[in-house]
Amino acid sequence: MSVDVIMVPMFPYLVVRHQVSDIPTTVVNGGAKLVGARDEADFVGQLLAATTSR
Amino acid sequence: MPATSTCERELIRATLNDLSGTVTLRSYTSDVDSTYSRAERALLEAIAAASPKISLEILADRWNGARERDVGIARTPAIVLLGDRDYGLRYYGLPDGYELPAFLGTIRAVAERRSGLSSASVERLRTLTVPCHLEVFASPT
Repeated sequence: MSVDVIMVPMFPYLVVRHQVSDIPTTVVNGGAKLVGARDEADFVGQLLAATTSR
Repeated sequence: MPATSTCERELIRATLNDLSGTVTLRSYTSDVDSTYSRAERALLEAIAAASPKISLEILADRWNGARERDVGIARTPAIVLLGDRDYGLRYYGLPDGYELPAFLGTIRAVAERRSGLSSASVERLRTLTVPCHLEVFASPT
């Protein structure tokens, strides 16, 4: 697993490309988005769902 | 005017003064001097000064496609955090303001060679069968 943390003021074109509308947003493998802060268990569950649904 | 505030310097000192392991911060940044590059350098130097366990390398070069591909960075400015190995952590942009505590926490985690996840989460993530690349969009304000 690799993680890029992207500061949106420096990279507005990425915000447009991924249609990010809220902070924080996590984009999984360039596709699914997990929007908003959430607890660890929920995040892991959503991440697993995102990686198995593609 | 100092690039880091008294409050930030105290936060950096309090968070990093007792690191257990070594951490290397490798900054890939533009070779063109700018307000941003000066702020980045000042912040990273303040962080590196907080602990003898932190090494800072600033590579202010032109884009080198072959090198950046090997390192695994897609754009600059980028900060690569390394412990006893590369954990695949890349920060793009200046992690100051509200992002500074999270950045310092990541440095601590790398120094302690831990993810910070619960054992239950680690077990669940072991079921991943495909490579996973996360892009987390955050803002310092």
